[in-house]
Amino acid sequence: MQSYVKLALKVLGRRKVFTLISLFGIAMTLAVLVVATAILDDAFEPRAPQSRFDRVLAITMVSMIGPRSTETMNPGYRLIHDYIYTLPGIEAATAFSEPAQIGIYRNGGRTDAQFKRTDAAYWRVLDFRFLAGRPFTADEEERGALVAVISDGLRKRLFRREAALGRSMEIDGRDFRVIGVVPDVPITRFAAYSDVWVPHTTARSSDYRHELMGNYNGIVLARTRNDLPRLKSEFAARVKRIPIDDPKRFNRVAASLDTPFESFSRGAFPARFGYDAAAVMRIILTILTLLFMTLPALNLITLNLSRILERASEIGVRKAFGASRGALVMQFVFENVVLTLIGGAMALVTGAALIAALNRVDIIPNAQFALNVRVLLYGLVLAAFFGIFSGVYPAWRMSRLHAVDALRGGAQ
Amino acid sequence: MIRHLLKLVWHRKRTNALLIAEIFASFIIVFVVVTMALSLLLRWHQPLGFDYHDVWTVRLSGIEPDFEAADDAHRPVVEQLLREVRSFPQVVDAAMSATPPYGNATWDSIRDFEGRTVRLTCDSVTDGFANVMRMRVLRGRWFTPADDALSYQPMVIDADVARELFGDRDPIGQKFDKDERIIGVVAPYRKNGEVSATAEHFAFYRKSLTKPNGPVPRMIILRVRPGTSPDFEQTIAQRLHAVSPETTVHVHRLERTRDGFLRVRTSPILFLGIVSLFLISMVALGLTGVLWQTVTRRTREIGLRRAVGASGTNVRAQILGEVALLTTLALLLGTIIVAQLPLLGAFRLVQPAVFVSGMAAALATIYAITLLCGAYPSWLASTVEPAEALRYE
Amino acid sequence: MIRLESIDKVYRTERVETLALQNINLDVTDGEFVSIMGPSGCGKSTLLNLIGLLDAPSSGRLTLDGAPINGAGDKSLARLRNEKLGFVFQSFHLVPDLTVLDNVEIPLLYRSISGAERKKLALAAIEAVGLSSRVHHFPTQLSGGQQQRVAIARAIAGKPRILLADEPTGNLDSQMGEEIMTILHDLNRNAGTTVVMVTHDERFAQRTDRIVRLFDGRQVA
Repeated sequence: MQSYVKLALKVLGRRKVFTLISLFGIAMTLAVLVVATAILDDAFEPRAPQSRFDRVLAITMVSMIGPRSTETMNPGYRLIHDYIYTLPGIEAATAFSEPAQIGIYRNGGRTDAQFKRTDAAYWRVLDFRFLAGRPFTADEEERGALVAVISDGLRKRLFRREAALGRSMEIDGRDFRVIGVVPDVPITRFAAYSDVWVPHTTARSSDYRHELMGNYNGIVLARTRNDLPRLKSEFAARVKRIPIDDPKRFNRVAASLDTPFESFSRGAFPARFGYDAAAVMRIILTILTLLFMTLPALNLITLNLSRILERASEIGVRKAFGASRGALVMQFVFENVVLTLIGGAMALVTGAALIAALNRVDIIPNAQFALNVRVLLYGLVLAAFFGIFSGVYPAWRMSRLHAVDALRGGAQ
Repeated sequence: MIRHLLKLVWHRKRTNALLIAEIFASFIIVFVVVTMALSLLLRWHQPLGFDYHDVWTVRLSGIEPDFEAADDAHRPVVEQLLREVRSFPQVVDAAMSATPPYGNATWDSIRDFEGRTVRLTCDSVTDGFANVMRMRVLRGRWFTPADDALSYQPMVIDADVARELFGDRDPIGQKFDKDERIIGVVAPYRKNGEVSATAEHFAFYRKSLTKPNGPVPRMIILRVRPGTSPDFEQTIAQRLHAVSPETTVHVHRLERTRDGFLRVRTSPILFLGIVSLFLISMVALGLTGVLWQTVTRRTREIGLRRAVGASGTNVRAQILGEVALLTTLALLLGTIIVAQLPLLGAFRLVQPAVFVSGMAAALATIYAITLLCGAYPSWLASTVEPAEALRYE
Repeated sequence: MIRLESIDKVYRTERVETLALQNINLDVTDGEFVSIMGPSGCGKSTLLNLIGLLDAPSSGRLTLDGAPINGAGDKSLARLRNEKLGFVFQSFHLVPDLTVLDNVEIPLLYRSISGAERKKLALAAIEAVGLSSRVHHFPTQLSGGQQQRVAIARAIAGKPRILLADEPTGNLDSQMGEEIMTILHDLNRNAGTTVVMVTHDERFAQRTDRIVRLFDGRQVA
């Protein structure tokens, strides 16, 4: 093994310029893949404040369907309260409003912020890490206490260096007292995303409580992942029993509890409840990934193919001296893996720099891409995979040459 | 000479297949990005049909309408709130709008007209809307309070709709659908602002706050006098809260809303652009490496050509010519594929002129990149010493 | 036709200076068939490269067809090679991706003549070496002797005054070698082409007009 590595390094060192170009090509290709992995990891990996989301179901839209029209909206508070809170055997359930852009007034100045109304159970379903203070309690929710939790970013914008706890700010004409501060949430975490959270009971009007369709989302936290199918079918049964307000226009209600991915898929397509959106989404994502990966893969294969073809005469000599086809393939694959791993190392450094730059530019608000252990591992695996994959075909091509042709300089 | 190069490239097509595939893929990517960018650029500078400066919105919530009822239970409250807003000296005019500009709410309607299917984007507004938005009335008139007494439903359409439905005929007074009749034509109105399609085909319906006519909008849109202090936001909110304590009031400046709206709509293209740039540079690097290596491999052939009388310039031209031919093969394939897109309905998404420009720009870009990649290898080829090359046995 | 006066050729690497040719004086008249012989490494190929303008002497004067060569630029050298010289190599150096016809046309590509004219000249040269039946074949489909004949056709397609052959029969068996020598002699006698040939084979060399022998870069006997 060691001699193989030494040999590989020596061979690569012989043609420095070309090796360098190959190396740069590989490094760039893999850097792109590393950054993509980091972005996807940030978007989908369960992590605070949504680290329990591998065992939640969500409802984000409801449709009223009739023979000539369909109306789709977010569920209303009543739908979630009456039909989801009471599901048997769950750990917790919460209703929270769609994020809305509002203005917060303080000392004569206005600060824009994203705003959510939630209940006390929200803080049990999501696991926010509190930088200061605490979430609001069931009692405060009951009373409609004018308390608020704010994000760290908002705290900086409102209070600069001063402590935020206990201070007040004006929302919708009333003063709310800050009781907790949490870290910023990226927009990719749909349930957690906001700058300020208040109890829903602080709404000026209580009309929202009676709405079947409104502007809320619901999330239910199951005890274990195995409960999810049961909860889905239980809710589906309940949906059939929802009374319809206007039976002349609509004859059924379509609503379901979805996993976060299913929910995201459903939201991405116009026909909300017509078909299995999640399956279609998976197909589309797979195609996109393949498309995205094809170009880098092609690039690597081309680079490696040309690198290997160049050494046709060397192959001829080796073959003449008895090297088997298998041994040749192994040797070249090895070289390739060595080159790809070195390129991979360069890619990780470049990737880390790129990720830092993306974070600085704040391309997705508040998202913090990280080159963590998992991403590193994926990166290395990808690099090795591409190294082997992009080396095998060219090496096999080359090894099939007859020794004579190879010595003469490589026929096509 | 070209035929000679063509024969060379054609007989080596299997080796070059991967390169061709890469150039082809790069062309597709560049085409998509450039077309999207061009489309956006073109749409950006078209007139909006309204003026968003010094326009504010007030969102009323907590007093939702019952959509099935014939009369909106909260109509009197909304009417009073609007009256309060209009009473301020800082306010030039105010109106209600169901789907204000730069907002996520949209109302699309598919209707039948004279046997054809027509697609309209609509908004339900009160009388002051045209004044608030500084819209230009081209023919006929806008809504007035006297329209409460009309026996038909008045409609104002924009110039694009007028042209599509009526051609050269005068649309004023014409019937549209059911009891709807057209009373005015305005300049083309683009609800989504700069990112709207060039023709939104907009139609306005009149909402009255003084007689029952179904649910009324909950968004007040108002024009303030230039130089109005931001403090005025709180002043409005306080007055409205005083009138209706159970109404939640959120005031926004349309300019701010516009910023957020446009940013969301343009960042995907920006992101795509950056990713594509990266992918293309990756391809360019790979291409240079491969061409470099090809030249090294063909040292003997180059030496031979020099021996029989090719000058350094001839050799350089040959390498670049081969690169150009290779690229042409790839781009031919790309163009054929891309040309199929209109058959799949691509012209519904982008205008033909933009599509063609995008293709031309992508072709030019790919040629430029591949020739650039060939620059160093072709120079290298021209420095091959025939004696050295031919001795290489 | 060809005159070399006091030609030296020195090869310099980082560490070593090799004197490949020393004080070569040679006069080849128009229509002569000259052989250059000598043991391996004696500088035969180097000499041929110099005559063929593929390399420049370190010192001395070279005159080709009356015109002095020293210090000529790349473009004029290329033109001279194209118009006045033809090359035949030991390992043929045919382009494997092109047909016989396309290979023979290569020198003509660098002249400003029409495609039709080019084709006519090429076909004539192919006929002169007796391969008209193989015009659209690829080099890999031909025997060694046939490939060398294609190379000769390529060398004479442009009707050069001088033909330079570097071990033309080196890769061929004796029978094919005979065929090639016959063609070369025919060209020399009938077309009046001056031929300078480097060879190992004493028999073939004896049949030429004159033998120039080299040893360690110097002329002997």
